Amino acid sequence: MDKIIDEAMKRGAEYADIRFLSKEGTRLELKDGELKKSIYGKDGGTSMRVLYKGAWGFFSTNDLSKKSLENALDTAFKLAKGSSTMVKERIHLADVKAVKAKKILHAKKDPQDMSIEEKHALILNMSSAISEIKGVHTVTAVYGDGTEIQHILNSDGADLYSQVTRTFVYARIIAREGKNVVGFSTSTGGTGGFEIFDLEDPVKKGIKAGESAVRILSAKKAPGGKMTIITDHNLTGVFAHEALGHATEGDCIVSGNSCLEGKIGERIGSEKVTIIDDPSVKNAFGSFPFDAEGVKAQRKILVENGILKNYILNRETAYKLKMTPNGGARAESYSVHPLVRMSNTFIDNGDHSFEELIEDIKLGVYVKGTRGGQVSTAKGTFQFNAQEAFLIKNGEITTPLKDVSIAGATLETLKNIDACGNDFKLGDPGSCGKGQWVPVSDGGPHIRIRNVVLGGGT
Amino acid sequence: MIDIGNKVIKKAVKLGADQAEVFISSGKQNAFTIEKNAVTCTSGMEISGIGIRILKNSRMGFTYCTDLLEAEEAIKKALSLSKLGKEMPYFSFTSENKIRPIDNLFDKRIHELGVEYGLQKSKEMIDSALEVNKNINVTNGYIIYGSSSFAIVNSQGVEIEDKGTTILGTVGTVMKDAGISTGFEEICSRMLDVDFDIAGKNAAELAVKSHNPKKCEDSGETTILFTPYAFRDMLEFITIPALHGDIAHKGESVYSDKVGELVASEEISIIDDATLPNGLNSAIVDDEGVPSKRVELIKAGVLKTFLYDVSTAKEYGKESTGSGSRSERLKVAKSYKSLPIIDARNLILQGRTHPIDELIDEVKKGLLVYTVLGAHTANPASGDFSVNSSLLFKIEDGEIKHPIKSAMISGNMPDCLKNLVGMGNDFKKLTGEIMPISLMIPTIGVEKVTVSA
Repeated sequence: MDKIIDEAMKRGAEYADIRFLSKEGTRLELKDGELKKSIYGKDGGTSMRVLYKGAWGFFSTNDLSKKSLENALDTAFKLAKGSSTMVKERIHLADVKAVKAKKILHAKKDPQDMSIEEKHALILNMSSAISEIKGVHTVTAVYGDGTEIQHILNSDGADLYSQVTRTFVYARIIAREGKNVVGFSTSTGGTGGFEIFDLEDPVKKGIKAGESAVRILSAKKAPGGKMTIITDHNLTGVFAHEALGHATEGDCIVSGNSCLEGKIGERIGSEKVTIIDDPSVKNAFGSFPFDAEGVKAQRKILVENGILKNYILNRETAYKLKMTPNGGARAESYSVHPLVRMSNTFIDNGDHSFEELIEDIKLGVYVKGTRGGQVSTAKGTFQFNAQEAFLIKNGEITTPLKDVSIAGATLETLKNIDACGNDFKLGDPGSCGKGQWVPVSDGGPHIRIRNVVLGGGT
Repeated sequence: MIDIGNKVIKKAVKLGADQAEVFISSGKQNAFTIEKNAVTCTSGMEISGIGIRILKNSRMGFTYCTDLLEAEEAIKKALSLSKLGKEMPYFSFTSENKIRPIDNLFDKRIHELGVEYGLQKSKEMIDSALEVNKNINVTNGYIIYGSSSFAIVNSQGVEIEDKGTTILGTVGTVMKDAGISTGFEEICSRMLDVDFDIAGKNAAELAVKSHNPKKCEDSGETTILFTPYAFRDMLEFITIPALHGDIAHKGESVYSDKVGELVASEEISIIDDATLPNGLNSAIVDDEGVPSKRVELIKAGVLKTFLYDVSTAKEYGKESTGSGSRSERLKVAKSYKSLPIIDARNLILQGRTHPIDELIDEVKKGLLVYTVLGAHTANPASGDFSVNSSLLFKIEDGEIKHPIKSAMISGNMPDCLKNLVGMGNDFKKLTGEIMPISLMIPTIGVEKVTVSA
């Protein structure tokens, strides 16, 4: 492999790297107690990147023969040469110390050693427990595990081997009463094996979700207009990830697509707000030891007490912004070019108890979880729908509400966060899509936001 | 490919499978990433692999691999996985063999395109956007093209092989002057007949048109003209999933038990046509070997059928609509790693169409909406949605007045299809926002939708 990289450099490349990735895993899908899908697969391949006269060439293949790898170099080189003819602004990479290292995120109860029966039993137990709740109509339960081995070599001399195992379960619950139908999702998982489920019991969590789904059946429509809201750790996390996190991604910044461009050092939120992206959180779903360029994963304080401190960067965007690379390059698979991505993104703890947060709210809404969210990073606007919500009246949580959605301008909203709880927790594991899907998590404490626009459906 | 397929089938049967199916996929594509007015990465990809479904004691297991030497080990795993699987005594892989060719799915010119073409067209697309206004920047975009082939062989006698080509492009613009506005355009085809110049120009003109937006002052019920881009999201995330046979028969869809009923305006028909010439998702068969069909889902407002793959169809006593999909969004080749799932192929809206100007003429007070954020957060079971738009225009007394900064739009999607006020003639071929589906839809006018600032 070293030879292939040497060959690229001999031909005049400024930089070259090669990334091998293999994935092995099982996925089971249970619908109403019956195993509808059972999949085992093994997949692997390689990609090569060449930087020539300031332009990238990237080639991937899953044919790992020597001949194919030589051809990969040839092609990547040709592609880079092609791009270099139209480069307007040469690409450079910020320096990082080349490291040789091997890091395995150990799975204590390794799913690759466990029987299919054990995996099946886990989701069957969860699914049965949820199905017993009166009002629950159907339950789809998914079990997934995957072990990913990545080996990266580059022309700076880096040689990094890493192995990460992820295990998760997911339940999609439909509650129904006549024509009234409610969907609700919950997931549990992280980096590691079955020990994840000792930390958080997916069965208990599933039952809670089932009860929520049924409760929403008789929930009322939410009031519309501007209001004070309290978000739970799931929705706090979604806000941190969707509204703020995406706008701090280096590629967004350099392409002029972020409302946070040029704002490092400026106040963008209330002093109560500290937001962090940290791929080194033990057992968290979005954790990894090295990024897809071989840069060590590291904790990044994006916002500290309301001041924008950092962006998420790969080597290329770090150079352009004259900043330090912080391990933000991730790729969905061997076959795609790494992009700047988040890992585990969260708002840091404050010092208020939940009771203190709500006690002076005359009329507000407690919003929990999300059915998804979207954001325009350029305009700095966001929208998400809460999965569950309750009316807050005179400092007390009262009636359940349904179909609550919140929207707003990110920067305005960050300033309207006037208190953070002291009950930090990471939310459900998930997947973030940006042309490529990567595992992530997000979270935070309960937070209080003033003047949020609520949409209450029709 | 068929030879390899037959060998794997033989191996699977020898190892104990009652039935087996092999799906082989192979493809190559080039992609050009555009950032800040330049191509920042040129990439190539070659991928191939096999997916194997086995049936043992009426229970299914699935496995995939990229190395033929690993096929035997993989089959053994699949056989052990199948033990716990749902018993499906009714299931059998398809033995249908009546296949009709479809025009314009493979263009030798695309198959043979080198890197130079993509670089040149990227440049043209960027330049034509920049020419529109000095304050325009092309912030992001891509051009992707390539060719692929696939084969399906099963133990029930099906042996099919086909190939195709695809070309796609998208471009996003930002105009920064007093304020900031955005524009975009996307194009796609199976043939080398796309115009990247126009795509760049359209994206830039949209950013210019939407510059200096005003605050949304209206609230309450209004009429909305959804452009194809906005309506795509609504169909993809709300209507299409509700028409999936598995979801519908489980009673999880607003359309459950409604076959034969009037569920939309009589002016509207929704067709899923996998045989559409030059259709982005057209192929002679679906991804489990069932010959492709033209399926009328909603005809003149009446719900006719749901979408079925082989197993769902057999389970509920229906025929497969050829809706088993292993496509991947923005990938030229199909995925050997996926089990077929039910999905739409080329979704087409039909009805009496009008020039867009006439549609606008008819609107006393309303909005022309280019994008919606958050359609995927709609309640899938009821079809209630609440989306945010930050690229839209105010319409008053039959005229487009000015761009609007942002508005929240909420309603119920099944009701929207009933409250149709008109259909444009500006049909646009689009890929799904997230799903690997394709749509061929015009601007759609809908009344009684709620808007708030």
